[in-house]
Amino acid sequence: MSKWSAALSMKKRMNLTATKKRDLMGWIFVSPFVLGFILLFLGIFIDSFRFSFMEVNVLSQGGYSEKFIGMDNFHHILRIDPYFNRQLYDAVQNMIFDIPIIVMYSLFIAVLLNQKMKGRAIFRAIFFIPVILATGIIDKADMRNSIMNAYQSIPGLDTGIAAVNESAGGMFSNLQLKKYMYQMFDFSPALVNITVGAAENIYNVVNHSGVQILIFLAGLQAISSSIYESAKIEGCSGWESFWKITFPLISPLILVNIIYSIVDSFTGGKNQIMDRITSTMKLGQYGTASAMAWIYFLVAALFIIVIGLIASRFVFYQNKE
Amino acid sequence: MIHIKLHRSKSGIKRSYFADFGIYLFLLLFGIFMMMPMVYAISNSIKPLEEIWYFPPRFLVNNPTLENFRDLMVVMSDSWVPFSRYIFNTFFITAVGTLGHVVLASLCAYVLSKHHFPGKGILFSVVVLSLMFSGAVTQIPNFIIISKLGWIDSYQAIIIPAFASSLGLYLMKQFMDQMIPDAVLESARMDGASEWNIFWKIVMPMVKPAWLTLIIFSIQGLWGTGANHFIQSEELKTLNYALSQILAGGIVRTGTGSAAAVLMMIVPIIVFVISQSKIIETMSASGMKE
Repeated sequence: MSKWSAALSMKKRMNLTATKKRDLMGWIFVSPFVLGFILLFLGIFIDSFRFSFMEVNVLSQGGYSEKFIGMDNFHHILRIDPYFNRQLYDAVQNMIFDIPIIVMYSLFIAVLLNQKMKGRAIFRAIFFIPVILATGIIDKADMRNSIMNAYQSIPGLDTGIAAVNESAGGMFSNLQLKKYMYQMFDFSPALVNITVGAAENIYNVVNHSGVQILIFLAGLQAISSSIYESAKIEGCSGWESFWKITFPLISPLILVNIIYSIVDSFTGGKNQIMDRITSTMKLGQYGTASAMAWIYFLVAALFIIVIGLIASRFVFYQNKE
Repeated sequence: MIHIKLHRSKSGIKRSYFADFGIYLFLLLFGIFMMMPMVYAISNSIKPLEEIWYFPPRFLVNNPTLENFRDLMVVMSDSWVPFSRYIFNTFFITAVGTLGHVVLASLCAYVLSKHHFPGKGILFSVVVLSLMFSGAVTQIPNFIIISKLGWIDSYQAIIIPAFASSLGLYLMKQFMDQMIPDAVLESARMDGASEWNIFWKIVMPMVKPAWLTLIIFSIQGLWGTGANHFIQSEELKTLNYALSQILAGGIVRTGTGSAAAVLMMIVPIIVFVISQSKIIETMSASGMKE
């Protein structure tokens, strides 16, 4: 350690710009990315911000016209539009319920898939399949609908208990389950709604956790096996070594996955707000759509910042003493 | 002393048979659940047309036939542009886009993760914020920028923006934070390695699981590139676009469509399996001996 700092100070004496050189090196490494970023994204950012204060019309002969109308777009969306606030609230609420489930589920599966066992590669592939299916043509072939139909036609697939209720048309219907829960247990309606919502969301969660599982897997592979070995020699149980070794060392990636899941849930195509923005675009109201997108963007950014700040207090980095 | 371990010792933590059984059972249950859509897609692609329209839909096929695939071949063979052109386009875009993205994102992530230079904090927060910006609203400005660059109707219009996708950068940066101890880099510098060498010889091998994962994501995204308003000439359009045109033929093409979907699945799955099998769990995290 001291050798290194001595070498550094010697270098500093010889050449005063040693740190500057390293700064420069840093900028050289990032420059391709930054250039691309400025070229391709920054302009878009600025333009769409500009559009959100304007009335933009696409002209039939080509090109477009723009007229500055101040905050009118925002006023229209937040005060006049009857649906936007509600949809925004729903999107945020869904996200808050889904993300802990997705992250916990994917960590759990990743830990299982990281065990030494036969057929591990096959299992890994299986858990990534929903991600592959969710893209491009496969999606376009309107698979989703027919798959959902297929799911519903197979009793007992979703909940296991549904087989009991086969005659009633496959899955436990939402309403029945709620009634049942009200009667059986003295649950409060809010709690029942959350539980039923979570059960309905299983398909959703399972389908949206492929990427997160892979991220966790890559992270788990980076944890040195020697730590586990020495813990085992010290008499550490599997449970303890998960919480004392795996969990702290994987915590940076838990933060990553929380943020990824937020982004995924905010920008995913199945989000009502996104549908809304896209359909507003198609109507030709680019100004309104941009304003909507910016409101949405700010809400999402706020969430990421708040959750990121809270979560990063619990994140443990190996390198930092 | 640096000693990067290449092989993790074989004596992992031993589990009881009961625990093994539990893990298999759990994975099997969830695995079956995850496999359902794919099994359904495959069985749909070998269903004869009349069987596709059964209501309620049957999960498995009764009279398997390759009719759909044959139809697909017929439709493919009389396309306006030779079909191999679409296939080439998709492969080209996917390969170049992924390569560039992984290299650039890793370069940038390395510096963001392990160096200190003015403007670093701002740069990284801009990247994180851009993750949240939805594509839908950016259509007009995006088109203007691409057209001002003169890239309309060229491969660049798809490939270059893929290079600068900020998600990959963000992931790589976080992986590097987690996987690379500063001490390794310090000692490499002491031994006189240049930054370039450190990056290629030390950092990249250490984060192999990370960039293999990134490759999967990137290929996954680019493979699905479909119709795009930057591309107008038929010769530059992608496989996905061509197959969705076949689908657009209407209800009679349903079977052909599911055959096409099955064909499109094959490549991402192969890539996934290969890259996952390359992640041999040998890279130990720190490789440091204090």
